[in-house]
Amino acid sequence: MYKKAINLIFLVLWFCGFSQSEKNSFESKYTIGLDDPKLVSFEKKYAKITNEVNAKYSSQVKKIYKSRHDDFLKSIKDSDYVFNDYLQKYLENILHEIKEKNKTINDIEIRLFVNREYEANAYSLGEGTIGINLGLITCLENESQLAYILCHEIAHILLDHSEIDLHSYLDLINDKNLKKDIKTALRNEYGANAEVLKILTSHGLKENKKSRIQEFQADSLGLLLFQNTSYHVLESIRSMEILDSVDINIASSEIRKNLNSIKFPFKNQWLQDEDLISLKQDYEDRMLEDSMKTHPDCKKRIKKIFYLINKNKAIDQDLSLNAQINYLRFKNIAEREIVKGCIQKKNYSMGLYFALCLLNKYGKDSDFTIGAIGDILNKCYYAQVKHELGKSLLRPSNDYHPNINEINYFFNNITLSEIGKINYYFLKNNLVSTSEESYYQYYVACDINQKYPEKEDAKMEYLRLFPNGKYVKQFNLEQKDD
Amino acid sequence: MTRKIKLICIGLLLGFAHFGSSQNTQFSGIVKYSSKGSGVIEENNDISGYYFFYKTDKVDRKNNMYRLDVVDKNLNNAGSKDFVDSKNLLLLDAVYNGKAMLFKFADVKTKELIFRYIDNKGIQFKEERTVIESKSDLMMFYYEDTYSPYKNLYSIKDKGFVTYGTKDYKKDGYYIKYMSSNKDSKGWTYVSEEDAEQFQTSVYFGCNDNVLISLVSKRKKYLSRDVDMFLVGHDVNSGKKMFETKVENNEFEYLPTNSFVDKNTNQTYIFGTYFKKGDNIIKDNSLGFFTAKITNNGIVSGYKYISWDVDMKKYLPVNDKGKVDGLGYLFVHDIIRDSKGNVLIVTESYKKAVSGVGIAAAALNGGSGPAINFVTNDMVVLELDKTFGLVDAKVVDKSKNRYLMPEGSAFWDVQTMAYYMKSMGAFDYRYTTSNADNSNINIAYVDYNKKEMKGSYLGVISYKDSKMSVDKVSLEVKKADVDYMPAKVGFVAITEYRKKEKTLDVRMEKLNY
Repeated sequence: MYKKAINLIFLVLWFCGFSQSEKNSFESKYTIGLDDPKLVSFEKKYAKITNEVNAKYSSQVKKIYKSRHDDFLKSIKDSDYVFNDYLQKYLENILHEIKEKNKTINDIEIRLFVNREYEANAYSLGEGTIGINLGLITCLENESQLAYILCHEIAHILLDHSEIDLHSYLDLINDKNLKKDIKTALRNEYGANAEVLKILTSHGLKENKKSRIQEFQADSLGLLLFQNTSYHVLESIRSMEILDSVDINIASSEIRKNLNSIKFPFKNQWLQDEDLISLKQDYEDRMLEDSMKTHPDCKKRIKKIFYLINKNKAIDQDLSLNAQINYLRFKNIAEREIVKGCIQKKNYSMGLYFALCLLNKYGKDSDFTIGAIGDILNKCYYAQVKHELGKSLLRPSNDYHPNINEINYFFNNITLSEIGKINYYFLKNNLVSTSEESYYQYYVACDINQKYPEKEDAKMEYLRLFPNGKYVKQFNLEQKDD
Repeated sequence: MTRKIKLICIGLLLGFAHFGSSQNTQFSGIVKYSSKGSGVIEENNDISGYYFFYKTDKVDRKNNMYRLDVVDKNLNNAGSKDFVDSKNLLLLDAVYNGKAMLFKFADVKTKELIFRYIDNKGIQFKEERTVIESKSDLMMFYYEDTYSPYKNLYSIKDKGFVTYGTKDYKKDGYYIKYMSSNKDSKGWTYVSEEDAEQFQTSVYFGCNDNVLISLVSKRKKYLSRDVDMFLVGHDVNSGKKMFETKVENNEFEYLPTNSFVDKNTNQTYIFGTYFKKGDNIIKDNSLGFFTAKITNNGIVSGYKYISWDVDMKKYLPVNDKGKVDGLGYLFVHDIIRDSKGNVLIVTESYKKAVSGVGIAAAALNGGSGPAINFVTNDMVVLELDKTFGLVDAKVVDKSKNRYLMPEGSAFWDVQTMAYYMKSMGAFDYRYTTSNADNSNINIAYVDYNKKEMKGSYLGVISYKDSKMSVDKVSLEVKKADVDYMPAKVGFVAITEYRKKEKTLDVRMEKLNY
């Protein structure tokens, strides 16, 4: 109890001191050159595995390798990944711990990349590249949970699942009997498509079943690797529980409270929902869906993991305070990067949602959040003027969690001028003296709302507070044009 | 994988997961795109969703497997139905009344209309089949479309649906078929008298909580322009004929064209044009617009008039024949009452003009009569207050569009010409949508403006809380065929088809006002 109280005090103090040191941690890049050591290693690996191809269908294998290689490089070029020193070092430390405690995998080359996606996921590309989504980092609670997920992905590499899948796929598409069956089915005058669908579904179901078995295998081997580390072994189960409920436990953005102001109160009609027609799925369709899944049910996975856990290892240990603080910092960077990723990819619905959640979690003094919200709403305004905002928004749907749908309905109902006004008052009431972005976005919002004297004041204040800020050049150019 | 197998797999994938719930809905592997077999599901004046109907397989010599995909008003997948039916099946229309959807099919071989009722849980709870006896009804199959002039399926909120048809008597008659969306109720059909002395046709006019009103035209000869118009009322629930009323009095002749219902009082109002006593309501020029009340027993009263030469002249430079200087005549597309009780009359100006190109062609071919262009011009929205007094006429700029009229049309009167061109889709007006309480009304039209909009655009006149604004949504995108679909009020649905990539993107765009 005493120990927990001390931990809590330290955590509170950490939050207070955090904002001062956060800036350096947040210098991120969104692409790297081909001369980056990770990509050099990636290219070498692909060259090696391509040269070593000596299997059935070798030309097809090489073609697939090339396609994977090119797709990955394109995703680097398209800024799908974030390159942040703090994030990277944190992950490398986890990897180092796993390798240190599992000498058999020491020689395995593994390259870790952080994907900017907000969905909770991680993946292995088979040749040593592992992608960890920002969304996974933010939904987990501590380093141990992330370490288990990493062990799971490493297990996929060790079990060569990617190669097995590749050859299984090639066996399927080169299967003369399958081609013959499909051609025969197509020659049927009647029921041709139904017959083809039956054949393909049957094969699809088999492939998905294999995939589910592979996931169980990766869980088991991953657990073995994990149990050798000094991480808390029961966190493997907790990580599964979190992933199982990730679509249910979605926090409220509290949009009404956050965007309300005295001079421009939040209107109830902005959150007015709609009656949407819907045809319910047949029971048979739902059953088919389960067998179409590539991953087994999380509850089944938890059961198997629990059975496999070495109970002797599962000692009751608290995670160290340092570990907790470091994970919180790591998570905070990931949370911000998610918002930046949404803005960059023009997914304004989710960008606003995550930014408002950050506002709820860390308050208004953050030098990031206010500016991000202002940026999103200004971009929404300009996109709406051109009737292109629809490309950047999610549409209201009964498939979304109500807390996400709330954002969707907000954009569904608010008018163009109301977007401009709500942002203007939001920024005016929440300017942060350490946030150049908030001042710049306020300047833009003043322009949108034709508040020209205030616009000029906002510009002067920006130049005073941030004489070396990133928008100084733009202001100087505007002055020259004037 | 052979190309054919690949296409099938793509098609099957489409069947499984071709709707996303992300920003855009994208269809891929589109080899050929056509809007036939798809349409909107209307609910009163608003859009509830869309349907896509297509063949997925041949089952046997006589039957195909079909899939009906339904998408909600936000373009999210709302479910699919697979069923086996005749290979001669066409889907004509779909409507929603708040409780059930009705899909109207036709079997062109057995000459049957098939009505399938689907409830809010996607379960088909009723099916009705009617043999089509009339030749003219059979012809209409190929023209029926949700937003075409031949729309012939209407929803009655929370109660049922109604459709109209022809009876091939010695002198053609009509039938009114009311279909209840109550699972246990059969609905009713009214058939006009077989031995009537006049040719009769009927169309939907309006419906309040109790009475369904149809507009019936009667004429002695098939092509005669001496036509009498009647309002015929039936009790919605029982089908009992309540009245057959000719709108007339000692003062004027009347042509009713539209109706609207005051939802608070259940009072039905009729609207149309009025003429000098003794004039022909089809051929002659009108004197202006009229409104009146009609009771559930068919008694018409409370006439109010908006004359060209007195009332309209305060707002537009119009002569006593209704021709607006610089614009032409006004064709009424729709009439709607907003949430504050004010009435909007949606019109589009038009006129006839001699065609230079047509004259040359006629001279070469030895044609008769001057060649005539039908010219559409600006949109004009007439605003009436709660007492049906004209309070404003708002002109919305639009380009002039010209259509060459058929030979001999120089001798047509202007009204006939307008109705003919409406049937040919010549007007630029496209649709009106409104929300449940009519506090938000959108009136859409198409136009082309190179300078301001860089080409084609969809113009939308919006009345939100009785305030008018005009928005323009460009239909020009590089390397894509851009089109639009009617969408829920406040929005347009934009489609971008890229032939090279074989993709079709559909997205919702909000209007600005």
